Amino acid sequence: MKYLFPNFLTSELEYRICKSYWETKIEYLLQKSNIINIEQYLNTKFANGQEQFNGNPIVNFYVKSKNKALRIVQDIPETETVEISAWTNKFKTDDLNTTELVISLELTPESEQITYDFIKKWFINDYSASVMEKYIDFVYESIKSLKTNSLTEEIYA
Amino acid sequence: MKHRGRLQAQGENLEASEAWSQNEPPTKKDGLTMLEKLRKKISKSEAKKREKAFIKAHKYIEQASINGGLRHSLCYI
Repeated sequence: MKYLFPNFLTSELEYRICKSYWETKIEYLLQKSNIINIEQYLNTKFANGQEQFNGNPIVNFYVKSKNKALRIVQDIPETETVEISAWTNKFKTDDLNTTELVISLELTPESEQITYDFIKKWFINDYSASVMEKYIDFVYESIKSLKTNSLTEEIYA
Repeated sequence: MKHRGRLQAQGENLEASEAWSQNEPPTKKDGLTMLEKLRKKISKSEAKKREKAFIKAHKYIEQASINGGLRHSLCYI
């Protein structure tokens, strides 16, 4: 399995590059569809300003015009399959009342592509939370069947 | 100013939490005690599934304490 930024939790430099990689690609994807005024809605620093460097979230975005948010949680790569899960979550603080799409993954080229697909459906196609949940289930089933097929091939090989 | 927050364990059919609302911000000791209470609130099997998350949460509280705490009550682990 090819992992992207596999040492992001042990190397601060790799963490920063990884974060910047996500931000650049997601901002480009959204801006291409005229989705602008993107801001962060989560504080990822301790009180002394030190970055938390824990991957949760690796990036976060709030799109005011859609009142929707995105949180990507990146975990240490340790499995030999495509690891990705996603869900929607009501998010409420004193300042913000929105719904976030949470995507949790181990970063590989495959999980990255699925992430962009989810982001497009959430922000660009503007799926509602319930439709998004159904779409996520549909993608899971497709991934599961791909895993099963490759296992079957291994058994018969 | 009141300091409010909660530690929460979530999952399918599971939502347990330990909340605080007090005049002083919770200390590292308070945080670790609440984390332990939260672990005891859920079943052993649920706690086992979340073992990695509990270790992460423990480390997070330790790190927050050496970095001056948090300026916000919401953080994910």
